[in-house]
Amino acid sequence: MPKMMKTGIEGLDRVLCGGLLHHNSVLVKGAPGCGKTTLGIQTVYNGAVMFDEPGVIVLFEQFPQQLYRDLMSYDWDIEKLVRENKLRVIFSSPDQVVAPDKMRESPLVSQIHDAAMEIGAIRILIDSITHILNLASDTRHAREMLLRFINALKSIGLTPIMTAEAENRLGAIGIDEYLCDCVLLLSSEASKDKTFHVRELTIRKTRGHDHLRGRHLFKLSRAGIEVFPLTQAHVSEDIAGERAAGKLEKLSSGISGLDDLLGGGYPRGTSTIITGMPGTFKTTLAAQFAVKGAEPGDKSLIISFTEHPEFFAALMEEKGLRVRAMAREGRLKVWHFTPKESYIEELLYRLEAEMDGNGITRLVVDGINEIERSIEAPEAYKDVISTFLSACASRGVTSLFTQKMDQFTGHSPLTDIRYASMFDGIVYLGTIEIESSVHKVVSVLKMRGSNYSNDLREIVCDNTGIKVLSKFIGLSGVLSGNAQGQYKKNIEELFQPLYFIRDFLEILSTTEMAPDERDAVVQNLRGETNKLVDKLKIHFDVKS
Amino acid sequence: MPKTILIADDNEAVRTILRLSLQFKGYKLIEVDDGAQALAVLKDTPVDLLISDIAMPNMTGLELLDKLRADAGGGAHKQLPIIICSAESDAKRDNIIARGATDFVAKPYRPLEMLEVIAKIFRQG
Repeated sequence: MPKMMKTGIEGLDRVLCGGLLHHNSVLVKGAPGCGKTTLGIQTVYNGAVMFDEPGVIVLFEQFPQQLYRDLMSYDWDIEKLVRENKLRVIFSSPDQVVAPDKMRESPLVSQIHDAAMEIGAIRILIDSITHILNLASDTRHAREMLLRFINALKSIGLTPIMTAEAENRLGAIGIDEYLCDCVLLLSSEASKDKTFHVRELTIRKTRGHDHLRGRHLFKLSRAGIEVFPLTQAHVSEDIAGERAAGKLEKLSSGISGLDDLLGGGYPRGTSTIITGMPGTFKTTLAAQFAVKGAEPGDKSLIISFTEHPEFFAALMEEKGLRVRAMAREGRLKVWHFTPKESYIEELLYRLEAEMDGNGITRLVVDGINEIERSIEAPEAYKDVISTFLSACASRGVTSLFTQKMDQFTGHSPLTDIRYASMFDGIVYLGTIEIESSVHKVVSVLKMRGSNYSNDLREIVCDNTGIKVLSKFIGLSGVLSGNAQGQYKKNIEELFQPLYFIRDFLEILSTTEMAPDERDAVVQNLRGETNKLVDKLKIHFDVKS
Repeated sequence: MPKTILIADDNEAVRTILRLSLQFKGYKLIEVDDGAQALAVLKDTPVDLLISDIAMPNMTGLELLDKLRADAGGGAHKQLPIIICSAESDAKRDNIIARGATDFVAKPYRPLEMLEVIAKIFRQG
């Protein structure tokens, strides 16, 4: 395997499976303003600063002042590199590419040659070859001119990185793409939901080495380009084996009554969705796992899509969860992430780095509805969640995701939990109304690899956190999502016959009736009484 | 000629109680599960009174009420006496009567109370 030329843009080097190849010509193509020049300058700059590979930057139809002004928005000191003889910037014009006659080199190539020799340059950026191609009279001429130019650069020992304009990523493939060894396509499109443009990078080809397929998002900041590779983690065999054998270690939820329901706790490396109406303590229940459930060796990460870390900590401190103290001890981090203002891919990229770098064992993702809302293509939601889940599973991280259910659908929560089958566990939080007061309840609907209980338990939350109380008896229908409706239906079914019996006993004792009419009423009363007894038996679980 | 009463309620237990109570008073009954079925019956069967629950599948009692008071059946049911019943705590008697119901009875109700309301409607009609 030849030595790779790293771009120094970490995510891009991952997409390129290590970096570029020395002496491969690289084409960076995209519409105006999508970051081609930035990517090119950054690659040359990083070469000089990080890898001791000096570079040359060739700009057409641009003035030096303009370049230095444009570069002020980045943290790069180009002038310093020039002073240190690690970089040369050549301002030229396209007609300098053309040689006066076939026996001589073009003036630009000579100039590049001299500059490269002077500082021992390895990398070169040509911005852009579109200017050169515009000089050609026809396609054949353009092809010949470009090929000769590329070969001249390669023969000097340089690795050319060239930018080219494209109307859009999906446009016809130009000759430049055939002639270059490695083609990177950039695009930038306005997004209807984000507050910024969505930038994507696709690799068309990389001669001599592999690359990651698919569209990789990137962003531009003061540090230049940052690429977030599309990754798909796989569950490690150790964990898959343990899972299959059903012998996963259990992690405490930090709530003793809930641990009982879960069959000991959440199995290690599993992902559970906590779902319920607003105000049913979903966030607290999940945070309690990260804070109170944590063992001395555990490291927890909480990602909140809605609350700023300080505010989140304050909310949880009110519930007796020592978020601040744990954060000070380095055992807990709280991240705030606004899907509208950034890529989910960026979050995933940082999350994986955090899990690998800091050994996260417990993860809480609060409010995954926000992810769904921020994704343009609904079908991509499943992929995003699946990437989250496999990133956790492959590292043995135990994760909880909270999801808000729609308060007004009144449908079964199971149909409301999107892609419920993707999660190993489902914990449902709901409310029921009993004699005009609202009680909050918890139930474990599913927990793979665990002997969980089907009980419905009441939960309360005070300044010491969540507690799970004893089992409810005799109230069914909480999971219909309309506990109140079910409760009313029960009352109707029990009280209507009771009122009937009482009223008709009254009628019997106060009304003159023919004997057969009286017999009929008595018979109806007997029938309704027996039915009522049966209903009450079922309702209160009375056996005899 | 006994009066014919149409009962729309998806709860079988509630219908049974109504049936036993109303038959005792000699009324003739037709029972359906929801608003849509009630509308179908009313299309070709003469009915003297409708007793309807609110929360029913397919068509709720209030949707049924609106349709009858609008012009379903060519306006033939604009005058049909309608008693709306409900266990919903937010079902307000005044609103339901303003919407076109003849009377409103909260569930669970006593059969004697329901018989009283029916008798009163028929006396006035």
